Amino acid sequence: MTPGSPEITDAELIGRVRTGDVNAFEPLITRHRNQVLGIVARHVPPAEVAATAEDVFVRAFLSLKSYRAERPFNHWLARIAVRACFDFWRQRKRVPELAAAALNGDQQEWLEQATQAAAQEVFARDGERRRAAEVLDWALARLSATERTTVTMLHRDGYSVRDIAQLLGWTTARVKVTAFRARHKLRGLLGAELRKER
Amino acid sequence: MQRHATDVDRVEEALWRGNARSPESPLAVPIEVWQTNVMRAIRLAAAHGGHELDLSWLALQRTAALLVLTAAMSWMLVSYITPATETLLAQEAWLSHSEVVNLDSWNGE
Repeated sequence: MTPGSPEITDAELIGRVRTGDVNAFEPLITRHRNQVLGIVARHVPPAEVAATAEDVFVRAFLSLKSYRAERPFNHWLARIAVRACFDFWRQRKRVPELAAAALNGDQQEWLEQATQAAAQEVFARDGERRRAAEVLDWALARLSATERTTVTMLHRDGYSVRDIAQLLGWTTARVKVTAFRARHKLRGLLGAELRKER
Repeated sequence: MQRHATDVDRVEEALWRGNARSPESPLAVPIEVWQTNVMRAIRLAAAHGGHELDLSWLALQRTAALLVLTAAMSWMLVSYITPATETLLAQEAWLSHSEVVNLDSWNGE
């Protein structure tokens, strides 16, 4: 029976890692990498996914002693992944040029098209999806790391308020207030851009 | 005003819908290559003793800083306080000496 075989549980592999068998961590990565990469890819720019996901597994390895077997390993890992993405934006927020860039002509055109109900189907196309991603990135860059993480988890990833609170270690009230504030700010930004065009 | 609010609603809806989860791989390199790099980073962390070594190294640094501080304070004590104490002791000794002299005089010399 190899460490990667399904007969060996996560808890057994963790036990081996804790006793000094570093290689036993590799099957844990193989089992949970899609989940971690999925979370990270939804929260950080594409060029940063590999490094951030690597950081998640290194953090998990270094803090394996704090893991308690009563909770599923993938839940514990998801929490580390969300925290790593949150930390990424906290660091990134210190780079001022990100928030200074304005929407280009293409992106403003997308914004105008988005107001027309008849043109809704167009968003399914690849090019439009890319522009939607650019406009969203532009808007999210103007939010704080806290607001950004909350609003994307709630409105894009479909997490419940309770799940977000658990993953970030916050109260549900804090998640609700932050999400409300973030949406209010986003609507203000989008509204201001639409007014500019008219 | 109402029309403007509706426009913002539509943009907001399209923004989230247009950014729904993509099924493509989020990595620019094959996943096995990425995993090899992750394991390399983990082995490196393990070779350096992981978090625990970092913490004990920090503790060692703190102890060293305390030792330096203690040595500096001891040096200050020796430099400034010891001469003062010596003076006091000398005065004490002089008084004792005078007392002895006085005592000798009192004894009728």
